Amino acid sequence: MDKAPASLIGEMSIMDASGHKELKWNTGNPEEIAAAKATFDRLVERGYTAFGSETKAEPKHAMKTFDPTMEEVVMVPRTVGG
Amino acid sequence: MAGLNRAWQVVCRLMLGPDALPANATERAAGERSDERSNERSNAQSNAQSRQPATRTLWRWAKRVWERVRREMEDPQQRRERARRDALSQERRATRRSLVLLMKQMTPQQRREFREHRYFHVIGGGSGERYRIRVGTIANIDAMREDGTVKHRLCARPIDDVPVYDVMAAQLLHLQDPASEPHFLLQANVQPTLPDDRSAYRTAWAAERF
Repeated sequence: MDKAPASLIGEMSIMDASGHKELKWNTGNPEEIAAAKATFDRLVERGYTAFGSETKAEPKHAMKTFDPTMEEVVMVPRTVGG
Repeated sequence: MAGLNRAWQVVCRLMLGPDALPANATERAAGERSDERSNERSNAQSNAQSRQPATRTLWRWAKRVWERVRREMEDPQQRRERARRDALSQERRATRRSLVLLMKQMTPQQRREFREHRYFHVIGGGSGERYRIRVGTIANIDAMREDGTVKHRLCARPIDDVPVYDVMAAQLLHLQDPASEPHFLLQANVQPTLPDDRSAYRTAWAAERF
């Protein structure tokens, strides 16, 4: 299902012990985009891997820089061998 | 003998209350005490009456001490039980949330397979290899041959203490991405295969617990 053109809300799911925490931003609001970008950069610096997709139906791919047009972003903690 | 009798009466009053003893027992005790001290014979009645408030006070004090001891013992137990219940509730909530996130990452075919078998297959984004991700956090990825048998098992998971379905979602995302799959495979530890029936048993075992 494509994004509704009138409401472009991006959603970031950050995996943690509680399941995941959610951070949303309005693609038309620069402050929310800046806050989401700051969170994204901070987590990537800590070793998280970001996977994003432009629509919910698409499979996600790895991303190194924050793209506010992504509808869904999942932040995965650093992976280690078990 | 008189001393023993008196001690018994004090114990009775402490345990049962100041009005526990009948009047004739009090008079007998007063009579026995007059043998030991002659100046108490004429004041036996008034002495008994004056001792009642003191006994009552002692009784109330003993009750307060007992209540305090009981509270001190029960409160930590209740707090521990409450904390245990809260932790269990949080864990269940986290598991439910992680399952929702995992289902959102899957294709409809993967969702059907997962509902039916408690595992799903992923095609490697870079290698084209087929992987089977079972429910679990340790060595739960099977690298599959074309004929459907297992080549080897892989063990790689997020470093943080995330719920089991988040682990599976992370594995799915890494394996299906062409850029991320090689790095993920480099980090993963390779484990030998188990016999197919034991793999199925372990899947059922994991299914009962997750």
